[in-house]
Parts: sequence; C-alpha cells; structure tokens
Amino acid sequence: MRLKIFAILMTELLLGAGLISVNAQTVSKDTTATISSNFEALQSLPGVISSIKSPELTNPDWLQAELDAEIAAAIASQSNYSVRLVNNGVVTYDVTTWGSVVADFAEFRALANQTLNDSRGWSRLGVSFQEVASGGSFTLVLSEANEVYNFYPSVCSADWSCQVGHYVVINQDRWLGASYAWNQSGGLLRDYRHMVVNHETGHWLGHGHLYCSGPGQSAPVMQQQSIDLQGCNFNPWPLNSEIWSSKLGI
Amino acid sequence: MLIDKIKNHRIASNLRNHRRTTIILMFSLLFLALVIGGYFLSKQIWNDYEISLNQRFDSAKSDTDEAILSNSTDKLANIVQVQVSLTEAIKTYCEVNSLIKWQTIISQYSDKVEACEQKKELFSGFLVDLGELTGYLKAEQQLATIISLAKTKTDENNQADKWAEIEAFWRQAVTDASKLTDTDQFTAIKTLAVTNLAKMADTWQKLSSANLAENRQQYEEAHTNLDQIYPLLTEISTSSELQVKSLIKDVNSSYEKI
Repeated sequence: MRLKIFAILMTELLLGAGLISVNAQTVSKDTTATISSNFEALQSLPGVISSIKSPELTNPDWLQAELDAEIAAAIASQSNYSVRLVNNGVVTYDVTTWGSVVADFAEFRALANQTLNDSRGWSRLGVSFQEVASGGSFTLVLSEANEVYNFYPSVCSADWSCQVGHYVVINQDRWLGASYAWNQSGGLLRDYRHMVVNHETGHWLGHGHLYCSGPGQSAPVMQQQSIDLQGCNFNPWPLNSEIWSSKLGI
Repeated sequence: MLIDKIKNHRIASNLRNHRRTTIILMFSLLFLALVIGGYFLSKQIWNDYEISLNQRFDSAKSDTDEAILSNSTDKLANIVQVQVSLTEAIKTYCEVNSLIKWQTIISQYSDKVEACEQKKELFSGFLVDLGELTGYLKAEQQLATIISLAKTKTDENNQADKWAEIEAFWRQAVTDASKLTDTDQFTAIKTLAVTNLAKMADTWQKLSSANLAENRQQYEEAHTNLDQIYPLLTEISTSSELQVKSLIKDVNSSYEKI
C-alpha cells in the first residue's frame, strides 16, 4: 500500500515537472514565432516577384497576317466533316469541371485558351480556338483525379490526363503538380500545363502517341512526356512534323 | 608656595592630557564614522549599480521588443534606429563609478562587473544578429523596388513596338542591382538577381530583334524563352526567403539568451 502511494506521488511529481517543462517550451516557442512572423512580414521581395508573370504577348501585326493567311488556306482545304468542327477558321470548345476541383478554374481557362491559340501551338494548323459556353466541338475538362478514372476506367487512369470522344480531360493532380519525370528533369509547371493541354488536344485532333527521336532532341508533344522523356528535352509545343489534324482534315 | 606651583602644574598637565585624549578620541570617532559611512555608501552605490544595470538591460530589451512588434509603417527603420542607438549605449553599461572602481579588487564586486560584462556580451551578440538581419532586409527592399519598377514599366509598355524599351528597363534593373551594397549576407542573392535580370534583358532583346526582323522561328524561340525566364525570378525570392529564415533563426537564438 505504502509502495503504491509512493509510486503515485512520484508519478504526479514527474507529471508536474513535465507540465512545467512543456509550458516553458511553449512560451519560448511563442516568443520566437512572434519575432519570426514580424520579420518575415518585412520581406518585400517575395511579394513583388510573385506578382510578376510572364506577359501575354499580342501577336505582332506581321505574325498575325501570316496566321490569318494560314487560316484562310486551311478553310479552303477543309472537308465537309471538318467544316462542321471548324467554322470560319474557328474551333469552338466549352470548359467544365468534374468532381472536387481546388485549382484556380479561371486560371485554367485562361492558360488553356492562351496555349491553344499560342503561335507555337495547334493554331499553326491555321485555326483559332474559341471558348464557348456550351456545345463546343470538344469539351475541355479540369477533373479531380478519381473522376478521370471513373469516366472511362478501361482507358483512363487516376494518374494521368486523358482524351475520350469529344472530352479532353486534364487531371487536376497533374495540373497542380506536373509529374515526377517532368519535375525531375527540371521542367517548369507552366510549361507542363502548356504541354498537357497540347498533348490531350492533340489526341482529339487525331494524333496518337509518338516517341523520342534521339537523345537531346526536342520531344514531340505527342510523346508521353509526363511519364518518361526518353532522353529528349521537354517540349510543350507540337513539332513541325506534328502540324496536321486528321480530325480537321488539315 | 611650591606646593601650589606643583598643584597648578599637575592640573595644567592633566588638562593638556585630557585635551589630547579628547582630540584623539574625536579623530578616532570621526575616522570610524567615515569608515562606516564609506562602507554603507559604497554598498549603496554597488546596489544601485546592480539595480540600474538590470533596469537598463530590461529597458533595452523592451525597446527592441516594442520596435519589432510595432505596427508602424516605418517599422524596419524604427528597428534599425533602436539597434544602432543601443549598440552605442550598451558600450557604457558596465562602467563602474570612479569612486568605488578600486573596490573591484574584491571578488564580491568584481563578480558583479563580470556578470554585467557577460550580460552585455550576450546583448551585443543579439544586436549584431539584429543588425545583420535588418541590414539584409533593407538591401532586399531596395532590390524589390528595382525589380518592381522594371515590372511596372514592362506592364505599361507591352506592345511589340515597345519591346526594345522593355529590354532597356531590365538592363537598367541589372545596373541598379549591381550597385547595391555587398554584405556577407546579401552578396549571394545580389549575384543571383543580377544574373537572372540580365537573362531577362537578353530574352527581351531577342524577342525585339526577332520582331524587327519579322523572323517567325526566332520569334517563337524567344517567346518560349520568355515564358521560361520569368519563373527564374522566383529563384531570387526563394533564396532570399531561405536567407531571411536563417538570419531570423540567429536573431531568435541570441534573443533567447538575453
């Protein structure tokens, strides 16, 4: 009995000492945390630099004239089927989300539109891409990873983006963090986003997968660069040899 | 008659002896009073020395706390001001009154001075760390202003015929950043900033040249480079954040010791 009382007393004493020690540490941490937060708030450089974005360049007049000429030429050569998809050189698409989307949807729409109409991208087919509220020639989707798989389990996975039918589906996880292979190679997130939009849209345009033509070469945009660069340099834009579309008859 | 003479002589002698004794006694008492008074006076001065020192260190700490925690718009300038004035003031903190300085041969008092010097050394260490941090933050603010100016001018002139001017804005940023004062803490960030800002200027120059030459291939290459060069600027802020974290860690560490 005496031994039990002694043990209880010792435990209480140790607990008491422990509590005092924990409290003292908490106070110290609070003070240093306060000092840290006050000094971190005095940093102005991160705020300034995060506000600097790559500018949206308007095509110079001479380049726009070249693109317009290409569009006119493409319209002239389009088949009846592709004419339905391309109206006066414009391919329409609508944008939607599937599942729980935490990424900035406005940013997704803006960057996707910029990518599709970039003079280095599929606009080189001589078409421009216009977002419409509904009924576009294809539907661009920003999707929660699991919803990509649920959409078409036999073709799509929760790990990657996918294209089936008129759906061009961008996997939110890849949109937010690119892929291991891409990041390991030092690729930028912005370039990955250009690449994934171009790659999946490329499927819709009628392209299959391609492979790296040799070490140090620019990867074709239709190479599965998210998975493995195969020795190629990452490249978000279609190569000259990829500028065709069976879907649009170009 | 003779007896009377002897009596008078004895009385005079007694009186003289008595006066001498009185004088010796008085001087002894005076000396004793001076010794006792001196003892208590020096004890009081040493007590005041200790109290005054504690008050000075407490006050110095509370001045720095107040500057760090204030919501002033000129907060960094205030912290710098406090740091500079305390660095000067602390030099005299452990000085002993010249009246009692000789008493430092006694260990009881020399311990007090030594304890003060130790405290002063810790506080000086904290002020040095604080100075390095505030010095870095000041330089970083100047760099941020230079980059911000180039960014604003770029945004205001983002048309094809102004791209040559945009190159000039970024070249100016390179020149201005190069002139920032070097310190052990800031030089690495400054070098990185100058390198990346120069790349930015080079890329705008290529874009401008491709546009003037109406060379589509060069234009598209330069456009791609431009998209790649902007994210490089985040290297500067990321490195700077790491540097600030390290300097804050030093300040926190020395703050905990004072």
